[in-house]
Amino acid sequence: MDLIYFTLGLAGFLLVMGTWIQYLLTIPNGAVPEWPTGGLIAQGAGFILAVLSLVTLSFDRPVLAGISILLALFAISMAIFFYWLLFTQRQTPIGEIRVEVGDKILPFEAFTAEGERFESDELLGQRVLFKFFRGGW
Amino acid sequence: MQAEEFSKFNIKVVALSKDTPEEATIHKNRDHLSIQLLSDAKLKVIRQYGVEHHKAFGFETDSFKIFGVPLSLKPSFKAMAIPTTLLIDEEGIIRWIDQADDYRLRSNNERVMSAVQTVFG
Repeated sequence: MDLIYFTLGLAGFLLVMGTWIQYLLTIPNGAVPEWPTGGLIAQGAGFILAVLSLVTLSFDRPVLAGISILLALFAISMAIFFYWLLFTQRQTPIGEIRVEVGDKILPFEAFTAEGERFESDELLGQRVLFKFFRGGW
Repeated sequence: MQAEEFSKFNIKVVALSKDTPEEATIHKNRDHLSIQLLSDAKLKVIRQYGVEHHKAFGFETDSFKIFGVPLSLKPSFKAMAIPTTLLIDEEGIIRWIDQADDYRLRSNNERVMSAVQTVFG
């Protein structure tokens, strides 16, 4: 019986973390899936395995039970985090943009990475791909 | 997105975020970027253009280091730019706009390159 709850907890943990790692690896390549169906199924399955591990838990071997609880709780919280991120956080407020195609750029000032002043006039006279991004992280 | 792909169309690539110049330098060196990074730490430009994501979930830059390599593991909510791409011509006229309605997704390379072809090709 010990081995069953431990195996369930470990399997849930590996499934959830494996999916997370695979998902995060798509970010640097710009290959984030539009809708990660497989990831959601795997996270859901990991969540269920972790819950089953907690349901079948026995404390005959306290250390093994403790490890299983940690694995299962970690898997459960990371799976909830994945769902939360995908279902509540991904929409951006895109309706507020103040420029449209055909407009001249709004003059602005910023700083370069070297800390020098930058004025938007420096962009004139050349073709520019201008990107607003979230910052390096 | 690296500058080399755009140089054959004579396009300069400039990317602006709320990172400070110091954070931008760290990012540039870490990811070996050849594009120009601009810093808008007070979100003045981001708000001026109406591309602010008021409460975005992200991770702190440089909050955690392993062997000197900055990793971002500290989650937080903060204001930052919505991923937005503009193509601007020599006269400063905006010729194409692409915004992400899903903040996980970036302007994909194919879409940008086909817009480049249409606008400047």
